[in-house]
Amino acid sequence: MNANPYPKVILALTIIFLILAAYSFYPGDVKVATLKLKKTELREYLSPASDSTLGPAGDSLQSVGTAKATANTNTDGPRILPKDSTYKPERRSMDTTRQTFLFIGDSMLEGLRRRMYDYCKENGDTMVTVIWYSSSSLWYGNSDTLSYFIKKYKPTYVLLCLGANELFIRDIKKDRASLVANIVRQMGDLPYVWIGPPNWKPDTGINDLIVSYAGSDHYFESKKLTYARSRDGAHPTLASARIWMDSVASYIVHKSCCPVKLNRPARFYKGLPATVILQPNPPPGL
Amino acid sequence: MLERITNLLSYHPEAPMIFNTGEFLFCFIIFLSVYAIVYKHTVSRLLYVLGFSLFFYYKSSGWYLLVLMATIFTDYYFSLLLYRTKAKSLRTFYLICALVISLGVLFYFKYTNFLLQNISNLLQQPFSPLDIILPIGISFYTFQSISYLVDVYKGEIEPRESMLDYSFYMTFFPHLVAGPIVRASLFLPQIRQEVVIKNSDLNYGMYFIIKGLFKKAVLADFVAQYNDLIFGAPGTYSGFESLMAIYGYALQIYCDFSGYSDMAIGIARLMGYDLGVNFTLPYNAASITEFWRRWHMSLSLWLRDYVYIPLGGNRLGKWRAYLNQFLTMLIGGFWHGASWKFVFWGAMHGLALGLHKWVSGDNKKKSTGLARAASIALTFHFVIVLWVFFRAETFEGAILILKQVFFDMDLSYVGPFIQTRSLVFFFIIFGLSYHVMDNRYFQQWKDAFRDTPFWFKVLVLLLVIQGYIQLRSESVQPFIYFQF
Repeated sequence: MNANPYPKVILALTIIFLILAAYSFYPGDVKVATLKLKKTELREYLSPASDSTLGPAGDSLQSVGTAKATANTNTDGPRILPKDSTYKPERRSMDTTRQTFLFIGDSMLEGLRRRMYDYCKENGDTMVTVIWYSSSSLWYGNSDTLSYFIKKYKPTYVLLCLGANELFIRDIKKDRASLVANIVRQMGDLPYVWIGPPNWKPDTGINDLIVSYAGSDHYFESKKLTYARSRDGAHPTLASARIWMDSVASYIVHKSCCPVKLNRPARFYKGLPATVILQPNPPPGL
Repeated sequence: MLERITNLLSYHPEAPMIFNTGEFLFCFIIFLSVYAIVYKHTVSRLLYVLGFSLFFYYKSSGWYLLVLMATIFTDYYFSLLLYRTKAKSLRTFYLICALVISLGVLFYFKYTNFLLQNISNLLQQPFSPLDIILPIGISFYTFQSISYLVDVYKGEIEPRESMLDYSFYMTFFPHLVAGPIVRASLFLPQIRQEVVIKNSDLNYGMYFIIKGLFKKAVLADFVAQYNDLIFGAPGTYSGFESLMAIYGYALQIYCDFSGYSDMAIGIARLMGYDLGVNFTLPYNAASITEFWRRWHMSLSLWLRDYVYIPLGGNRLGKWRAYLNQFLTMLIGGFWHGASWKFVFWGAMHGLALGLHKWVSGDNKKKSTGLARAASIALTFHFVIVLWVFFRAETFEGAILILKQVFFDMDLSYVGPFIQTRSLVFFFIIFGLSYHVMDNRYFQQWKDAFRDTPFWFKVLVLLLVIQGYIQLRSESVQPFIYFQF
């Protein structure tokens, strides 16, 4: 072959690059059957303060749960407003009875649930875990997933870990305020603690937004801790997640609205809590 | 805009440039656009590729680029000294000096903390590691430069008078950071040869790039997410889950490293250069000896030619040959990392090689049928058990994982595992079954792929990249062999 072969290769690679780049800027999503095609990070690379979603910590899990994460803005119940400067954190007396925990949230639960399981074993509590990979307030706030599992498992205490997939959303207060309010509303009168995201970079306001709706007595600000990260750079290592959960437990006992008995386990218990895993797909309609 | 360009040209330690990043794709398109103009003019081509290779290394390792350049300058002048000096004793002296410098640099970066830690342990003193970062690829380019010097010393090759040629050989970016370790005798003759790109080169290059990207970015990186969970908390998962992580890691390390090699070979081929072959279905080996003829062949051959044979090889009797083999593998293990677990890994391989040689004796007959299948299964499981020591953070962690497999095996985990981690399970089965197939099928696939239209290949490449995007975790997994 005497002709220069490279223009063809360069053109081919350029077309591939342009297709991937164009799709990353395309505002919608392309689906093949039920599979949503993910995008490259070119858009984030060029404008760092845009949306970013964590991948699952474990792997692409199949749904084994029975929850129907249907779109439902759920207008029942009281209107939740952001707390203002007159808000006084609530502080109930210590509940020493045995608890049934619902521990629900995003992939950060992979590490947290192990240590929480130790706490449950140590203190005679029970726990059900629900992990919705890649979820955010967008998904929980637009669905009845939380209230569905509250109805299903009838917990006496809810732990929610959410926010890591929305650290870098622009205009977060405008976009997500009603969704965060909806999540808080779904908690009803149940004692709950919202565990904030373990920031690996400064966020664009998710921590402030959640605390404004949940109140500092319901919100554990995880970003104040320092973590050893796993290889994905985002999820704390299991050892670090244990320390994280110890800090959350200490907060529940000493600072939260609804303290319960959580003696620190002196050892690691064998086994894992019962876990429902939801596919990393948004609720229908999103 | 200027900020973006500066960002693209700067070194980011948290995101080194590797083949399976969008950044590399972008840079490679620009690189190839200029290469298309200069590739027929030898000096321009050499200068241009050298410049890009240095940029590539800078994007991977930052200012450790200077260490690489210092190694090149030093060894270049020593190679000329070796060639021009007639007195044997003086030549030997120069060779020793060159080796001491090259290995000294490698030792400093790789083994200083290990040495200090062991001394502190012996003296029962507290130890805090020095802040030494291992430059990426230093083990590979050091070995490459040693082979060059030794070959010049032995008179097997003539050194390049041109600094440009030697720098090009040492820094050629497809193999620079993670091999294959390219022998001067294979590569030097190609440097100034006219580059003629045939259709077969394009097909071959595309085939290897796609295959390598699929192995590294889709299979290895995806299975790594599961493996990291298990190896991150050894002893806390069930025996079955731990067993799956062991199989998973066998797949990961093979796909990671051979995938990188394939991409390197493919990219070099697109540029008109041949880097040889580095893996040939290693898990299909029926003995540990055969395994090392199939796994990371460029390193195995390097160890044979520059460690085993200088130690005496098999020229000094049977038992000495076993000892030499054992010592060679011990050095090979230590080369992989400054830790006793790597030494143990190398020692076990050394013992197994000796044992196999002793048992098989002069019998060169290849087993067939069931006997071969059993030998393959035995070899495979021996290799993957040792991979556990290779992967685990500590020796104790490796033992914990193996303990789970042998003493906490509960088959009731099988169903839920397949249900919840179906893709990991499928990849492990798919990736490992791939080895059982007859090599002729691969040749047929390669031929069939070669005959497909060029645009079909482009579509396959796009699908592999999208597959990678679908399955990847938040950040790109570094190549395992970067650390060596």
